Amino acid sequence: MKTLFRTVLFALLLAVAATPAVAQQRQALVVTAQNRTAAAEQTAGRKRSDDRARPGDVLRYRLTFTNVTPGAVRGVTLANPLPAGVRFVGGSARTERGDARVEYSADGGRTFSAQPMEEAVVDGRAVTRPVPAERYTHVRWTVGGALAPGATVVAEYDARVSAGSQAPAVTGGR
Amino acid sequence: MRQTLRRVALAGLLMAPFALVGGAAAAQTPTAEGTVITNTATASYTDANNNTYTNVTASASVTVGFLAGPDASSPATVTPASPSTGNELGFTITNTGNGVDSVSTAFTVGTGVTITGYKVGGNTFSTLAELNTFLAGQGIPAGSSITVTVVYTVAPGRGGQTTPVTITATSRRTPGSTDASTTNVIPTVSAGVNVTPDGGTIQRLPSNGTQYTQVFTVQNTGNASDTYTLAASAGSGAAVSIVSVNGTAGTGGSATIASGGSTTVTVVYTVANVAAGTSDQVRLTATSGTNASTTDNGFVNIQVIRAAITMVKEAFRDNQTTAIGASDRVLPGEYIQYRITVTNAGGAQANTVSVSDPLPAQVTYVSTSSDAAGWTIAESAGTVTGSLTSLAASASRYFWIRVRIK
Repeated sequence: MKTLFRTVLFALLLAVAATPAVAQQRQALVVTAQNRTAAAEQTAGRKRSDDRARPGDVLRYRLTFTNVTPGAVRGVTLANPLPAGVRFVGGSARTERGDARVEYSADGGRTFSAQPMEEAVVDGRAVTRPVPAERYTHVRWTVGGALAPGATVVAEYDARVSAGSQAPAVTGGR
Repeated sequence: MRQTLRRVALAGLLMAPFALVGGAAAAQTPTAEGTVITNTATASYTDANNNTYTNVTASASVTVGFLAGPDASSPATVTPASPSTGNELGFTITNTGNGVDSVSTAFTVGTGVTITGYKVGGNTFSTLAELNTFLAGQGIPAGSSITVTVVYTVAPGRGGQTTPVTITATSRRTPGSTDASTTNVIPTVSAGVNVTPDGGTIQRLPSNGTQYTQVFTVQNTGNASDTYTLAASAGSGAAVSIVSVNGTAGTGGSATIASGGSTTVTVVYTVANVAAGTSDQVRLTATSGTNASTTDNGFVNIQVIRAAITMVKEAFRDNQTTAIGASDRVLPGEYIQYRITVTNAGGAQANTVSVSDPLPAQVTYVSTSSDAAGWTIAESAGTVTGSLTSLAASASRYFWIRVRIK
């Protein structure tokens, strides 16, 4: 009886010990997308007939990181390259962590800053100006403090599905 | 289709770090229908002892659906002739949506323009229904366009007038949208004028104070309203003098006439005291105010006529038949008769013809008789007077005076 118990216990421990990485991958980070535009339409009584996103729709991406290790972790960094087909919505990055700073890249992830700048020629003069937010290629949060076991960091930002240059007058269909 | 999606998804993962670098494109193309947008984030961390941990990744995918975007465009203005037929106007419909779509069309046309048919590529349609039936089968890929050409006629008299022609293109897929484009049809102005009559002859006596009237008709044969400058003039016969045009003294005037309309112009003139047979003209020239080289003139020929009286006095035996020649002899106491014939050899009627015949001392007045009624004949102290109120051109009248040789 004792042997059986020990075997089962050992098996359980082995199971847990053998899959720490998988357990971390499955729970440590979760990314969700919510179509804010479709949600607003539904609130206004215009529920769509399908769950596809349309050009111009605003998607809210939420990154949830959980410390699944037994000890505290530090230097938590959440990095998110903007996927093709969407453009970053300026000023939309947010997190509830007071000790997290957000940075952006507009050069494919080579450099990050709170406000990427670029050189440009305006009216024949060389100027340095902020890169428009819609051209950001990456967004990244870096948590300054430590994260206790089980604690979470939630970060969100909005991205708009690329639309054409002109806004058509919607006639019908949902 | 599946392969394309996988490529798009892969491209999304690999190309994202390099996409949009240095791009300054203001124009966007919408994300294609069916695109799977996969957002992959990475978390990295360390612990109090700076141990290394494998990065964790997670993804969320969203599939892109269809959103219509028909965009109609056409020239701002076209300038066909008026009137004209078979004009063509192209409307281009571009699919700025994110997937293939087809459209249905509607047209509105203002006054003065009529659509007679439609063309798409090498296909011709005589009704809107046929056009739309065809368009229903024409899928336009995202980013591509189709051109619908309208064939139309322009009514007469539309020079300078604006007629809007508007297309409304509506996507057939949902969620749909619609777009319109308007072209203003402004036919070019073309001036034209026709003045009549252009000939004919009128016979006139020298005026001697009388004013004559000639009415001309000025017709606007152009396609827009026009204000014409009028000028009346005489020919080279030195007989006609212009007095007034439409009541205003002088030779000038003006008239504003709508396209296709006409107006009459009254020219008053006199004829000088010139010889019968003199030829001259009364002319009216009208010149367009829109185009100074558009001008026409009308005219009428004037032929001067006058009366011309000739007279013959002949002697006959009392039988009014046997003429008394130079070698014949009359006897005292014999009755003979003089016949006085007046003839109007001119082209105009003579008024108040008066003949005076003081009889020779060798005869005694007996009586008179005339060819017909109309003569007023009297004798006083040996002088016979005969008068007619009028003698028509080419007419001839006579009366007899019977006398007795003393």
